[in-house]
Amino acid sequence: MSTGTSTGTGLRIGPVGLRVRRRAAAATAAVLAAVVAVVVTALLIAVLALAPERELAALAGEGSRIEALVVDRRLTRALAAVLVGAALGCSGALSQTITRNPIASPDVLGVTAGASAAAVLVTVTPLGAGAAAGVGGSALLGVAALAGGVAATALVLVLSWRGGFDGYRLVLVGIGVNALALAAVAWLLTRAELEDAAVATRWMTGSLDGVRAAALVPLAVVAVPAALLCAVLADRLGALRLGREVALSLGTRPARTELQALVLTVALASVATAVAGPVGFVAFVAPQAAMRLFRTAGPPPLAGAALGALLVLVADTVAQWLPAALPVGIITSVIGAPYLLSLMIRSLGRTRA
Amino acid sequence: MLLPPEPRRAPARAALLAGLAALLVAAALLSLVVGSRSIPVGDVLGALLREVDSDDATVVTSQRLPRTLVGLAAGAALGGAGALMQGHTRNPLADPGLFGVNAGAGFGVALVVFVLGAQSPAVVVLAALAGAGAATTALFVLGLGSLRAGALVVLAVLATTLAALLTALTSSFALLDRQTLDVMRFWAVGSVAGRDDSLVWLVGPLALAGLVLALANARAVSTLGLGADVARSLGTGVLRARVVGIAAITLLAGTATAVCGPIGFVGLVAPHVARRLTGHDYRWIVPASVLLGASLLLLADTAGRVAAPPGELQAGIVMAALGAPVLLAITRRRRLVAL
Repeated sequence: MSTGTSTGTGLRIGPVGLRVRRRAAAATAAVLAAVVAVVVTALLIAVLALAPERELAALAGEGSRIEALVVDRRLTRALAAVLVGAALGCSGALSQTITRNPIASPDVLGVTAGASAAAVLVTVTPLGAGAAAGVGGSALLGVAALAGGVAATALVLVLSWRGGFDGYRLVLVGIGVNALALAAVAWLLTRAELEDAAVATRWMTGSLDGVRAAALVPLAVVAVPAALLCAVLADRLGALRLGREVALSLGTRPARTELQALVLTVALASVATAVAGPVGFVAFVAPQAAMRLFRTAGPPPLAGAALGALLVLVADTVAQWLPAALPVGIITSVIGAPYLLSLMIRSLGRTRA
Repeated sequence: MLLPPEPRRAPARAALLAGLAALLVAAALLSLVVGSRSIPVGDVLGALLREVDSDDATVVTSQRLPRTLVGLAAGAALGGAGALMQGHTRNPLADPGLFGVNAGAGFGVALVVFVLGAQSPAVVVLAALAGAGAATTALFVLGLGSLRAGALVVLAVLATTLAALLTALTSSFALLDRQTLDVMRFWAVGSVAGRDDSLVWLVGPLALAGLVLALANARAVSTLGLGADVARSLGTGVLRARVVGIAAITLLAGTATAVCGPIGFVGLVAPHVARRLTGHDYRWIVPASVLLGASLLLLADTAGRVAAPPGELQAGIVMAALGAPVLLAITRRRRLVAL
């Protein structure tokens, strides 16, 4: 497809066509600046406050051991928040685009719950518990979560196939699979008799407590190529938004685009879940908010990722300031659920009118 | 796919209800007999009727009988609440667990314990009722009046989102405050075992009142199914019927949740089975669903006792395992019809 036609400035690098629009550019810059600002704030202001110059020294590797440890932990946590949020935001935008249904985010469709159930299954088996620490353990967890996410998605797709996919049936089947997976998580946790309540809350609500740098490796391995792939897919997804027939006549292959986007959706949501558990509503809120903020035609994957990163980062930072640290998933649910409710009530009002 | 059942005459339906009552008695006996220690039926009856003094008799009267009664009452309440919710919202997925009424009750309790620090049984039950009532009212206000294609799904998503939000708030209270955590720990998974006996005298009459209201409301629900205008012309006070419905659902789901914690899917499965058996008249669906709900929860609890030795599975988890496939089957129907 040609770029740089009548509106805006066009730019083309290999398969990636970029149209620079002023509003989107400004919004991207603002969101990224906000992410950086919150990371800096999270590093500076925490329970154990360090002076800025000590913080810088520790980052440069010249601080004391404790300072280095503190900064290391905070940086890992902030990085985890950014990556998890970005992965969820991006995956939500992709699934909302291919289903053409704003409700159909990976957490409503049961992908994150499925990933969570598989990850818990690995955690409570002796094998998984033994390999919990280190890169090997996180890779195992990541693979298990991926398998769970794929299984849940396959279940949803198979059960909602009726000579074609109906966006509404997809959502309803997703609700059912979600309920099943959450019951499985609850059951596995009661069987495991875990001493560590933090582990349980992570898998019930999503939490970044005690996240290790090693856990981020699988996430980064998936997230970075996924972001590049999203840039490549952007044009075709834009065509898909107009409907499958139009997408076909625009010279794209809709079935292939849908499959690629679906694979990305499941991979991103599952790997993010392996790190932080099912962090609620990020995958729904971030793309929808990005669409309104950036004034795009549909939920934008990369802008959704940026906003998702900001959302999880802010939620996690806020959560740490509260008198008793809450898991990040509760904060995102408390922000996200009312937003979903308000959007739906508004759409109810429209259909009634 | 089965064809919709033919309309049956009253005697056939009455016989059906009698059959369901017999099923309930069997389920209750099974719940008294089966456990980590199997007690023969004769000994169970002896313990109940003749006050025999033995170890088995003590197990039956002090452990299994209260547990069975709690399961029976909670199952009946949830079955009735589910039938009314499906009737009023005409949504085939309506269930006190899925649609956030149980979550509302839990949130009410968490809020009261967190803010006021109150723990007395009366306050807990009242808070559960208030929470369930608020959630039910919100559901009715949001969901009624717009029942066109799609709105069915919109209501389902609205309600599950509401449930997720209330659950998140409840767990945040529990994590912020030790005392709240202490009260709410029981609620994480719905179970009928080891419940507080002191609640019985408070909860029993409330649940009974809810059942009476539900049965009284059934006729109005049937006529409302024809549309508000038709219902009005048939002499049904629409607003009154809705208010009675909200009150009945609140009393039933609120008390069940106050005693057992959130148990989902009883209120989903029981009315659907009842509808298959009795047809589409809520005057029969509601009582059938009450009986079926009680049997279902008792069987789920009994199955949970023997499913995973040496431990037990909570009834709520067994119900989710049974109920989620039913939910999936409902969503797979060729056309999702409003009830």
